[in-house]
Amino acid sequence: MADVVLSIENATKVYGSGPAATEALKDVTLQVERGEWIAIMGPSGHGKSTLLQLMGGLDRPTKGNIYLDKSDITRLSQGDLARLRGHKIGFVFQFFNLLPHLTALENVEMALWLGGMDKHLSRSRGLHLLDQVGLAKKAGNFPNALSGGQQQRVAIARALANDPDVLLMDEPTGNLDSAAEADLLERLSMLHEGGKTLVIVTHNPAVADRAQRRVRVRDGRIVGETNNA
Amino acid sequence: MNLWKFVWRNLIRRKGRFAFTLAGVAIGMAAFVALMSIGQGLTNEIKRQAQGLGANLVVTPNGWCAYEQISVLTGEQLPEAIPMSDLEKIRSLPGITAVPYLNEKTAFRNQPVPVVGIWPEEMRAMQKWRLAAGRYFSGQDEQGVVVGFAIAQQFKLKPGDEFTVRGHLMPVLGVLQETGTKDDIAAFIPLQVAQRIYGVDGKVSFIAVQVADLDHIEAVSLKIQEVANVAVVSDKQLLSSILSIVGTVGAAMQAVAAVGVVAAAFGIINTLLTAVYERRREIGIMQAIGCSHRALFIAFLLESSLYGLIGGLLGVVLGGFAAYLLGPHFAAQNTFTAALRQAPTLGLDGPTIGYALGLSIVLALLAGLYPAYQAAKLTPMEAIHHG
Ligand SMILES: Nc1ncnc2c1ncn2[C@@H]1O[C@H](COP(=O)(O)OP(=O)(O)O)[C@@H](O)[C@H]1O
Ligand SMILES: [Mg+2]
Repeated sequence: MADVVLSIENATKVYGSGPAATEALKDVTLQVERGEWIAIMGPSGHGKSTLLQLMGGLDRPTKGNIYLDKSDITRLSQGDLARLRGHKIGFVFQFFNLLPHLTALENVEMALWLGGMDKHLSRSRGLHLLDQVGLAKKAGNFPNALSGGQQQRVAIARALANDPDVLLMDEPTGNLDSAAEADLLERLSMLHEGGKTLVIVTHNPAVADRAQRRVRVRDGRIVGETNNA
Repeated sequence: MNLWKFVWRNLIRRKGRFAFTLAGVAIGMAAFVALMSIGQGLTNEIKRQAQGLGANLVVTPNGWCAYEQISVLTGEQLPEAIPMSDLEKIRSLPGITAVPYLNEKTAFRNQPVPVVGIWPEEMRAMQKWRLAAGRYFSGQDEQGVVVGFAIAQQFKLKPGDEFTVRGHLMPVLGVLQETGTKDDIAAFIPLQVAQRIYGVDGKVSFIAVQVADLDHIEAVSLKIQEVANVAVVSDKQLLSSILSIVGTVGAAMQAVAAVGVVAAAFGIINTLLTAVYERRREIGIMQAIGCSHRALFIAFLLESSLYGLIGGLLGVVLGGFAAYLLGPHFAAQNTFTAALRQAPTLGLDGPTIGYALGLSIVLALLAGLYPAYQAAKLTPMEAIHHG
C-alpha cells in the first residue's frame, strides 16, 4: 500500500454566489504519494491554481475533504491552518513571491521565524538554504536586485525553510528565460531525488516530462493521467 | 528576523509617508506636552512662592477673590483694607507672630515695581532675610528702600543710588540676597513711610501670621476671626484655591491641544489603511508561508504603536523645548499668572513624560485597530489574487 501524503476527496470549489458563482473545481479526487513528482496541466482558467491552493490549505473547498498525513485539514481553525502552511507545506507562486522590503536572506528567515525557529539559528539556517539554491552570495540583495530566476530560487529556499512534507508550485517557470528554466529544473530534480514531494502546475513540457505523473485538468475536473516510465 | 524587525522595516519603507505621519503625531504631542509642561511649571512656581511666604495663615479682608489671593503670593498691588486696630487685636493673641503687608506699586524709570510696606524688624525675623550689599533699615520710620535681588540687577542699583516711590526720592539702603521668591522682585520700605506716601493711613493689605504650635492652626484661625472682622486662610487653602484656578485654565488649554493629538491619530489610521491596501499581496504571501491572522493583526498594531512611541518621544522633546522657550511668554498673557516670576523653567518631570507617552501610545494603538483588523480579515486568496 502506497504512502499517501496528500489526498483530495470529492472536492468542489465555488467562487462567489448567486448568478455570479463560478464552479472552479467539480468533484475532484486526487491522491499524492510521498516522494512523488506530479505535474498538473491544462488550459488557463480551468482550475489548476484552485486545486493547488486547496491542497496547500490556502483556501477551503466548498464541498469535499482534504487530508494531509491522514488528518482532515478542512476541519482546522484559521490559526491551525496557518501553522500547517508554515510547517508542512511549501509554496512557490508564479509572480511576486518575495517581500520587496526584505533581503533574500530575510525573506527566508521570515519563513523560519514563522515556523518558530530561534533568531540566532535562523540566520545560519537561512544562509544554508540560500547556498543550496546557489544564492549564498546574494543573501543581502533585495528582490529588485535579483533576476526572475534568482527570485524564484529564493522563493524555493524559503518554501523549503521548515522542511515541509509537500512543495506546491504554481507555474514556477512561467516567466523565466530558458537558461534559468533549465537551472530550476535541475534543482527540482535534486529535490525530488532528495525525497521531496513535488506538485507543480505547469504549461512547460520540459517540466512535465520530468514529472512521474501528469494530471490533466479541464473545466474544473481531472480529465486524464499519464505516468512517465 | 523577528517581529520587531519586520514591523520596523514596514514602518520605514515609505519614507515620506512615515515622516509626515510621524510629524503629525510629534507636532500634536509637542503642543500637548508644551501646555502640560507650562502648566506644571506654573504650578511648581506657585508652590515655591507659597513656601516662600513663610506664614501658616493669611489674614485678608472678607470677600477676597482668587485674583487677590494670588497677589499675596506674587506681591502685586492690593487694596488696603485691614485697619491697624485689627492688626493690634490679632497681635495680642498668644502663640503667634503677625506681620502686616501693604502692597503698592510704583513706576521707576518707567517700569512698574511692586512696593511693599513692612515692619522692618518683624519682617526680617520672619523671612530670615540676609543682605547682599549695603545695610538694613535702622528704624521704623527711615526714608529709604531695601530692594530685592532681581530688582537690583534689573536697574543696576547699589547702596547709595536713588530710588523713587511715587515721586519721593529715597536712597537705596541695601540689596537683599536672592530668595527665589517674589521678594526678589519688590522694593521694601517701612510701613509707616508707605502709608504716608500712599495716603492710606492706618490700613494694611493683608497680614501674614506664623503660628508657634502647628497643632493649633485651626483654633488660632477661629480666634482671629472672633477678635477682628476679617477672613483667614491657611497657606494650604490659599495654595489649593490658586492651583485650582490655574489648573482649570491649564485643563482647558490641554483639551484644545488634545484635539491635535486626536487628529494625528487619524493620520495614522489613513497611513496604515493605505499600507494595508498596498501590501495585500504581501499579506497573502505571509499567510501562505504560515503567518496567522493574529500575527498580522499584532504586526499592524505594533506598527501603529511605534508611531505613538516615536511621535510621542519627539513630541516630548519638542514640547519640552517649546515650553522652556515660550513658557514665560504664555504665563505673561494670563491674568492669574502674569505676576509670577517669568524665568524659563523646565516643568517636565517623570510623571508628565510618562503620561504624555502613555497617551500617545494608547491613541496610536486605538488608531491601529481598524487597519489591523482590515489586514487580518483578508483571506490568503483575496490577498494573492489582488491586482
Ligand atoms: N478568488 C477567486 N474569485 C473568483 N473567481 C475565481 C477566483 N480564483 C479563480 N477564480 C475563477 O475560477 C476559475 C479557475 O481559476 P484558476 O484555478 O486560477 O485557473 P488556472 O489556474 O487553471 O488558470 C476561473 O474561472 C477563475 O476566474
Ligand atoms: Mg493559475
